[in-house]
Amino acid sequence: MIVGADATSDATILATSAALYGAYRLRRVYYSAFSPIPDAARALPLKAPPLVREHRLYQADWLMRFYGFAQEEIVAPGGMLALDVDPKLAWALAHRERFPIDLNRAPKELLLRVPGLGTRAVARIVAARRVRKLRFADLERLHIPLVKAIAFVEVADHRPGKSLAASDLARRLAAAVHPTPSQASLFDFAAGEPQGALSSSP
Amino acid sequence: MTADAGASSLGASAASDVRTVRLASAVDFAGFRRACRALWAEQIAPERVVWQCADDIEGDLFETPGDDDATSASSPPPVHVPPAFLPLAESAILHRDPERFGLLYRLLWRLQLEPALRGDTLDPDWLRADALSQDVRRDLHKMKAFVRFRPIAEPDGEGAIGAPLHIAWFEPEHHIVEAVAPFFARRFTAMRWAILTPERSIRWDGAALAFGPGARRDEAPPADAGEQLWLTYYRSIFNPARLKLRTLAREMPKRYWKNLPEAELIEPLASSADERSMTMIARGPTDPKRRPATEPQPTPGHPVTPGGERPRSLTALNAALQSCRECPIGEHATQAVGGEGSRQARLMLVGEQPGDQEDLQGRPFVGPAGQLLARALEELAIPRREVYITNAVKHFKFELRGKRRIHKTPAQQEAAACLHWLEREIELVDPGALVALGATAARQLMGTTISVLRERGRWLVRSDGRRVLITLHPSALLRVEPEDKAAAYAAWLKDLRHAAEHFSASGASE
Repeated sequence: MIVGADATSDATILATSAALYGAYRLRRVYYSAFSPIPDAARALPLKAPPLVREHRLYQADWLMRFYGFAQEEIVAPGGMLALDVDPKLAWALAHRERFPIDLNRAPKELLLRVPGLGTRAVARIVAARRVRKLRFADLERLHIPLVKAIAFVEVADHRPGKSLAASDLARRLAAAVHPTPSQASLFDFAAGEPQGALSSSP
Repeated sequence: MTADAGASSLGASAASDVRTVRLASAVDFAGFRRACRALWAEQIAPERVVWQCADDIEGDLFETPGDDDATSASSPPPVHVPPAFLPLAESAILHRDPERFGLLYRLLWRLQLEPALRGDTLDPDWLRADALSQDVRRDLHKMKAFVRFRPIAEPDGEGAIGAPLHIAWFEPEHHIVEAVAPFFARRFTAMRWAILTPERSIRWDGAALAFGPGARRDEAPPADAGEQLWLTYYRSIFNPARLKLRTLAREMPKRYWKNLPEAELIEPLASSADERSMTMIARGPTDPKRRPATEPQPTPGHPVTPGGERPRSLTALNAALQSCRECPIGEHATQAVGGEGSRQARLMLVGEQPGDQEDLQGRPFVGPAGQLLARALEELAIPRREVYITNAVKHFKFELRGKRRIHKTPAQQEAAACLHWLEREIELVDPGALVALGATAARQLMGTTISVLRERGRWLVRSDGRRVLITLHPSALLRVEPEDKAAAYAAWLKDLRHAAEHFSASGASE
């Protein structure tokens, strides 16, 4: 689906995808942010929608297909996905009463709802906890975004405690995950830190 | 200590007894498996093994334990590993990390002694082996994506210059050259190619892979003209609205850039991307580019040309034809196809409409029917360049079937809209006689429907006094049954002979 050429909301787009997956057994839906080209129809916008919107739609799509989320859980009717936090983190922040989740005991379905844990990390945890009691050091070896996950889980030697209820958790996490909350503009790029990555090679 | 010294040391060696195993190469997986079995058979603990590769050291100091010295009196239990271990070890062994052999043997050793390790996916050794394997698979993937070949002309074995040899220079991060070679052999089976890397080189001659020693970068050919084409293409497909610098840096890491010709374009394209988008926004919306549609409807007796005036020469006429949209056919055809031949021709041949080939080449009668006509003209001794060949309708009318464009007969209205072009051609060339090839041409020239089968081979007279010979269109001959073809062609040639008589007679009179 081409995204951002008209005013369709993310909720409508995801509802369409959910219908395609559910009713039509479609294997995969692709989302592509609209790219304007010169001399196109006048009805089309000239400004490209933020590419991160496409990325958020893919994340939401994955939540529906592999993480057991329903479309209504991810985005409110008529609503848009947040651009600064991913949809899973947004859901967890809105449902803090369900956390922390004990990685040593919780069923797989709940592990899949922890921000920062992907399907492979969950499979590893489920296999490993049969033979060992998970500790903080084990999580460090998992190659997961620990900043996000650690706020929502408990293991043998770690409990998030009060920080989960803290009102500034959302802001802190968003800042930790995305140092620049909006999508990096090219002007930032020309002036800022990633420039080293682009200056021509010797 | 050497391997033979350890043969009798089962379980009794001192901790200081260190075994050195030397593998044939960095990627000697078979040798590694053999050594592991032998070491396990002797119960040599991983801490007491030092691994070396023949590539790394000079001299022949140590023996590799082989299958033969693996047996001992009280044989230990056979080696058992989970099914996932073998493929993991096979890829992890290609890693650059010198610790990889020790790590994999330690994992193997521990798997025999600690049954719980099989399911313990968070064990540091497992995770490390997984990470090595993942690095290798990523490197394999990048090599498949970032190898860029450059062709050079090189004589083959017999000294003849055959197909070019494609040479690429690539610097893989790990020892993956042997592992990736079968992919390139499958992908470029029909090409002769070589990939040079600092450690190993591969060559494919179309039948077999050959591995050689490493090479230097300057042994690969420099940039050539084909590369400019690739850069132009890369520049043209760049979409400023979809630039994702972080993804780019992640998927195309900078260390690959020095061997990627297109990498030099990334920075200028990236830095101008925002400006391009802004310029487009600042310019405001514009209308889509379409070919100008011309509205004038022809009124009977007053043909309208897009230019307004009636063209004064055949050249002007052919140019004006291109913008004709007096009927809908012109919108879909590639181009209008005007007449061709002598401007003082004594004979004009009129066909129906351009076909697929004619539409693409812009010349009348160059397709299969055209070849048949050429053959007939040759047999009748009429030089093609001394007659004028044109069509009743100037644009190709077709129907898309899959990817093929199937000819469709023009409707009467479409032919009528095209009539003034043909009449003007007749005025300008002023031929003594015309040949109508097929029903459309006959109707166009005579102004009324003619039964071609009844009138074929006869001269009719137009209202302006010019004579018109009626016969079949050559494409009709292409459609007859194979056994009737010869007879049909002979009959058609007989019709055309009348025109040949006119041609030579009028030629003699001049």
